[in-house]
Amino acid sequence: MTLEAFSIEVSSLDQKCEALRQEVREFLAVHLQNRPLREKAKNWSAADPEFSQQLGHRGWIGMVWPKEYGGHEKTALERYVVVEELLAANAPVAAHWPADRQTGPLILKFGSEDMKRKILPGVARGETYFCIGLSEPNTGSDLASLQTSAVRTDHGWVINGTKVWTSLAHSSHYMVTLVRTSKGEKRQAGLSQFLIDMKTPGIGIRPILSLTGDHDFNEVSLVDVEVPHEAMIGEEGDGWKQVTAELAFERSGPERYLTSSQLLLEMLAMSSVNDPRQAIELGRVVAGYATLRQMSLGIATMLSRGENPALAAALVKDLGAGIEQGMTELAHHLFDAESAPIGSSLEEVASYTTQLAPSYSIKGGSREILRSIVARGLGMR
Amino acid sequence: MTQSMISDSVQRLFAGLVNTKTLLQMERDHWPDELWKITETSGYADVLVPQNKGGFGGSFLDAYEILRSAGAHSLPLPLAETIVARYMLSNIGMDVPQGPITMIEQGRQSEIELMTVGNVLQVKGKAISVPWARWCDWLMVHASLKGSGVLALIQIKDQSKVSITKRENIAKEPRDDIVFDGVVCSAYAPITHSFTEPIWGLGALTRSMQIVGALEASFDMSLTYVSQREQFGKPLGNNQAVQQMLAVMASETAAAKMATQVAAMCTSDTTALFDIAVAKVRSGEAAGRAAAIAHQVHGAMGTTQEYGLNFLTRRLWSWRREFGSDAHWAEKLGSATIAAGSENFWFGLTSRSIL
Repeated sequence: MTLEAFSIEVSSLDQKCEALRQEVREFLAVHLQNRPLREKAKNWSAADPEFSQQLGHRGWIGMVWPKEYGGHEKTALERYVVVEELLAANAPVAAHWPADRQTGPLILKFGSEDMKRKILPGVARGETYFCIGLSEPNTGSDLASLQTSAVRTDHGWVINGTKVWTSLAHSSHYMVTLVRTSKGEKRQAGLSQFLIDMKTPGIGIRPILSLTGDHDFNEVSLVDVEVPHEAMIGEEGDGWKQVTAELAFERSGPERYLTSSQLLLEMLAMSSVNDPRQAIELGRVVAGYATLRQMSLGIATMLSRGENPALAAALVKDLGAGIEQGMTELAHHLFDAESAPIGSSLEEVASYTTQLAPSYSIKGGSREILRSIVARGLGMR
Repeated sequence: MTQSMISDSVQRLFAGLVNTKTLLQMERDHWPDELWKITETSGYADVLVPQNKGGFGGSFLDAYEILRSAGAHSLPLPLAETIVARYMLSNIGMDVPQGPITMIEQGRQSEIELMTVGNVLQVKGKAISVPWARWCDWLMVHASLKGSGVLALIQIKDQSKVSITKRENIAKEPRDDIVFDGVVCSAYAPITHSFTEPIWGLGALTRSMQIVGALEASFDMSLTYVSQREQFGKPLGNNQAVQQMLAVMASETAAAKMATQVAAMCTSDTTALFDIAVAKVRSGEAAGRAAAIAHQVHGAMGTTQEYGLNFLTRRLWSWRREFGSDAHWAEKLGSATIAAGSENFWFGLTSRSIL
C-alpha cells in the first residue's frame, strides 16, 4: 500500500522523560516571568541570547550530541520533551534554535573533525548562533535554481551572491550557505554547503522588516567573500543531499503546530463551558494538537534511529500549519470586537498572530511544495 | 500471531467474501448468515476474549487490525459491537454467548430503566439507532442499578417483550429503534471500568478503527483511479491540482490513523477516555474531508451505485456520527479544557488527562 511510505511510529515517553519535563517546567517558571504578551506570541521566533546561554548551562542545547563536542548524549526523546516544553511556554529560543535543530546535526554528520571541535561546544553552551542561507532573490521554492557561486582559489573559495529571508543574520556568528560550486548537467549536482564566519569581509546585511514591523529577516550580500577550504561542510557537490536530509529535522518538530499556542491560551481564558460553540471548536483544536503531538513524537523517534521519515515530516508540517493558521480564523469566528475589544489580551495576541500566520505555510517549505513532496511519495510525480 | 499476520489473514478472508453483491443484499434487508458463520468460526469476534475462556487473548491493537480491515471491506456484520461485547462480558467473568451481539449505553440514544423483580432483572424503556439490532441474538447494556454500574445481557431475538422498528444509516446498515417492555435479562453482573460509559467509549474507538480502514481503502481507490483515467491525453493524476488533493487526503488519513492507534494502545490506561475522544474527533473530521476528495477526483463515476466508492464514503458519513460524532466528543474535550483553565492546558495535553 502506498500509504505505508507515510507510516509514523506510535511512541511514548518513559518516566525519565517525564521527570525531565518537570525539571524544565520548574526552570521555565523561574526564568520566564513577566514577559510582554507580544514576546510570548512570537513563540520560537523571539530571540534572547541570555536565555539561550542559561539553557546551554542547563545542558538543554545539543542534548543528543557526543560529549566530546560539548553535547550531553541524551536520547532524542529527552530532547523532544525539552523542546516541546520550551515551545509550549513560548520561550525565546530563536537565537540558538536553527543551530540546535538542524545546523548542529548537519555539522555533526558531515562536518570535519576540526569543525566539530571548533564550533559545536560553543553552540551547546548557547553562545554560538547560526543563520541559514538558502533562498535567494530569484530562488524560493525552486531551491536548485540558486545562483550564489563559490570559485576555488589557491587558498580556498571566493563566494559571490545574495541570500534572502535570512532570519537573524544580524545576530548570528555563522551562516550555513548552499552555493553552486560547479555547473553540472543536473542543477542539483553542483551544489555545496559552506560555513561562513559572519565577520568575514565582504558580507553585507540589510534588514527586511516584516509586516508586523519586526526585524527578523535580512538580505545578505556576499561580495568576494573569501573562505578557507575547511569551510566546506561535507563533500563538494553533496550540498543538495545534505540539505534535504536537514529539512526532515526542520519540518517535523513541535514548532510546526505550537506556534499559535498563546492565542489558544487566550481563547481558552475567554471561553465559557456553557457555550457549546466555543467548547466544540476549541475541543477540535485540542484533538488536533494531541494528534500532531503524537505524529511529531513518532517522527522524532524515527529520526533518532537514523531513519529518514522525510515524507511523513512534509505531511506533518502541512497539517501543523493548517492548525496554526486555523487558530487565527477561529479567534475571528468565536470572538468579535465586543467580546475581545481592542486593548484586550485576546485581541492583542489575535491581531499579532493573524499577521504572522501567513508565513507558517511558507517558511520551512511552502504548502504547495510540501504537498508535491507527498504526491511524489505516493508515486504521482 | 503478530499484528501483520492478523492483518494479512483477515484481509484475505474479507476480500474473498465481501463484494458488491453481498453489500447490496445486506442493503435489501438480507442477513448475510454464511458470512457471519465464517467470521465467527474464524475467531475474530473473540479477539479480546482471554485464552482461558476460549478466546484469542489479543490486544486492542489486534482488534484494530481486524476492524480496520472490516472497515476497508465494508464488512456488513456487527463485528465491532460483538468484539466489544465479548470483551466486556468476559472481562468481568460473565459467560460469552455465541451469535452476534449489539450494545447500548444507558442515557446515550436511550432511555432505559433497570429494576429487580424478585430474583430477576428487568429492562424497560427505549433505545434508538441500535446497530444491527434486528439481526442480533443478544443485546448488552451498561446501566446503573441502585447507583452502581451493571452489565446486563438480554436475548432480543424472537423476544415478545422486545419490539424492533427497522431503521438504517446512510450506508443502509441496520440502526434500529427498540422498545423494551420489562424484558428479563439472561444474565447480569456488576462492572467497574476505567472510564465512565465504557460501551459508548469503546463503541467510538471501534468506529474510529473502521473509519481508518475505510479511509485507507477509499484513498487506494482514488489513487488507482487517477493513475488510470486519462483526460487531455494524460492521467488525471499528472495534474498538480489532483496531486495536491490526494496529498491532503493522505495527510488526513495519517492523522486519523495516528490518533486511533494511540487510543487502541491505551484502552486500560487512565488516559483512555481522552485518547478515544481525540481519535473519534480526528477520524470523524478526516472522514468528511477525505470522502469529499475521493468523490471529487472520481468525477461522475464515483457517484454511481455500481462503482464501489460509494460503499466506503457512505460508511464514512455514517460512522463519523455513531457512538458520538466528532462534534460530540470535541465538546467533551473542549468544555473539560475550558473548565480546567488555560494555565492547565499544556499539563492536561501532555499528561493526556483532560478527560
